[in-house]
Parts: sequence; C-alpha cells; structure tokens
Amino acid sequence: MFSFAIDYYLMVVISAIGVLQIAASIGKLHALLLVRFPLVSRAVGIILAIAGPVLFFATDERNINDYEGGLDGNYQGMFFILGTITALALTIAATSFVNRSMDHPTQIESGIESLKRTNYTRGLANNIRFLRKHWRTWRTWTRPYFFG
Amino acid sequence: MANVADMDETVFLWLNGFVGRAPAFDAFIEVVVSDYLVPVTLALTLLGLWFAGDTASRRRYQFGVIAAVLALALANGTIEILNNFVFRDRPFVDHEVSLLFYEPTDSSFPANAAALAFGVSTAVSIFNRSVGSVLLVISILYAFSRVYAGVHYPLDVIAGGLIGVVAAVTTHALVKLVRPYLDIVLKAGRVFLLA
Repeated sequence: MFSFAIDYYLMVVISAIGVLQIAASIGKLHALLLVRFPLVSRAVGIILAIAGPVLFFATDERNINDYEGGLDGNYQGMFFILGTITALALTIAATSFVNRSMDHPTQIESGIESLKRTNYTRGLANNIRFLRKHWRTWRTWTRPYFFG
Repeated sequence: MANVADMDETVFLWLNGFVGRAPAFDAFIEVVVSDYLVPVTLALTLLGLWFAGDTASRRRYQFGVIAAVLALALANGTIEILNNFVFRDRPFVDHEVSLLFYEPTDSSFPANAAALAFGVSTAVSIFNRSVGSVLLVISILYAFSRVYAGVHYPLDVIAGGLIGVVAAVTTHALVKLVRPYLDIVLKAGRVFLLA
C-alpha cells in the first residue's frame, strides 16, 4: 500500500502544481506564476496536470482493491489534501523566489488579489506586520474587518 | 418493481456484453473507471476554481467550491447511511460478467462514485456553467464506465447521481443561508492571501 500511496501522492502534487499554474494565469495572479509569461505558465500547467495521471496510470496496475494494496476513500482524501498542501507550499516557495522583484504595498482586505502585484512572502509579511501593529486596537480594527 | 429490476439487469447485460469487442475502448474505460482519475480531476478542478476567476467572480467561485465540498460530504454521508438499510449484490455475484475492475465488496446500490461525481459537478454547474458542463460530461462518462466495466447496474448509478444532485442543491441553499459566517472564515483566509 505504501508505494501505491506514494505514487498517488506524487500524482496529486504534480497535477496540483499544474492546476495552480493554470488557475493563476487565468486569474492573473502574476505572483503565483512560475514563468513570467502567463501563456507559457498556462502551457506548463496543462503539461503538468496531464503528466501526473499519465505517470500514475502508465507505471503500474491501478485498479486494485484497498485490501490488496489500493487506497480506500479515507486514505485517498488524506493523501489528496497532503498532496495539495505540498503543491501549494512548493508553488509559493518557488514563485516567491522567481518573482522576488514584485513588491507593491497591499491592503489586508485584498487577500488573494494582492498576488496580482506583490509576491506571496512580501504580501504575507505585510499583512502580519499590519495585524501586529493593530493587535492592541483589535476591537476597533479587527472586529469591523471580520464581523463588519 | 420486479419489472424495473429485470429491465435494469437486461440493460446491464446488454452494455457489459460489448466488453472485449474493442480492446482500445476497454483499455480507455479501465482508466476512466478507476477510483483515482475522475475523483482527482474533480477535486483538482475545485482547487483551480478557488484561485481562478476575476476580481468580481472569485468570491462567488470560492463560496461555490465550499458548497461543492459540502455536497461531496453530504452525498457520501447519505450513501453510508443508506448502505445500513439497503444492500444489493454487485452484478458479478449473480451474473456471468466481463469485469474490467476489481471486485468491490460493498453494496452496489446506490453507487457512491456516481453520487460524489454528480454532487461535485452539479455544485460547480450552479456557479460556473461552462466548467460545470464539462464536469457533468465527465461524471456521465464515469457513471457509464461503472456499468460497462461490470461494477454497477444502471439503476445504481442513476440513484447515486440523483443523490449527488440533491446533495449539491441542498448545500448550495445551505451555503447561501450561512454566507455571513463563511465570510468571516474567508476574511481570515484573506490575511494569509489564500482567499
């Protein structure tokens, strides 16, 4: 089961990185693009999204019952979430380096939209700095933000 | 009732009778029917929709993705409960079947795989028709493959599909109802640039 789970996990990681590239290029989230040109990133994304399942199915027999080495629904869900988190972390790490010159002041309310102008680590640092600065006055600032 | 079951078995045997006539098509179905390809495709589409979309539509997409994930859970939970009361043997237990899949031991009726696929694709169709339509076609192909491969009777996948559709419509209404609370969660995600 272990090698089957690793293969499944790798398929999810590879495909999820591809899907993130496609989504970032469609959503114009330039800070999440591995290549600066959106169309090239989209093409890379499509290749990765297809490569994951192709590698998974081409390398071994995959129609196996869970008690004979396959994965049951719970393990599938667990490894899917792990794979997606890994893909997201790898994408954020790689794109923060590739797009390190992207630096634009952002607002905490912008959320994911900030990634159109600034790279992830800078945007996150900016938001955390903002929260720390306003932590003492959380009643006056945080409440309207979350509950306003 | 017996007539419906007879017709169900007749349609199943007719469809499964085509297995072996076109090896290339059988090989294609063996990949489609797998527990991994369609579920992963549907789930990755939800991941993509979370990040895709323009400024105006992104928020709607994210609420839709939450509704789709809840639909998945609701459809799965419904099937789990139904399986305690209804058990139907798999087609290969009672018939001479050309099987393109392993032999599952759980109830054939209703089809869990069809419920999950139709739950997600219907939920997506509600907020994005074009992507939803593609997912619905994939779900229909998935349901067909389950019957063709000898794992389910047609009625199993129809019932599963209906459960998925009802789950998606229900969770869509539920998400609308609790939207202010979900908004708080999304605002927290916005701090980490993930929503």
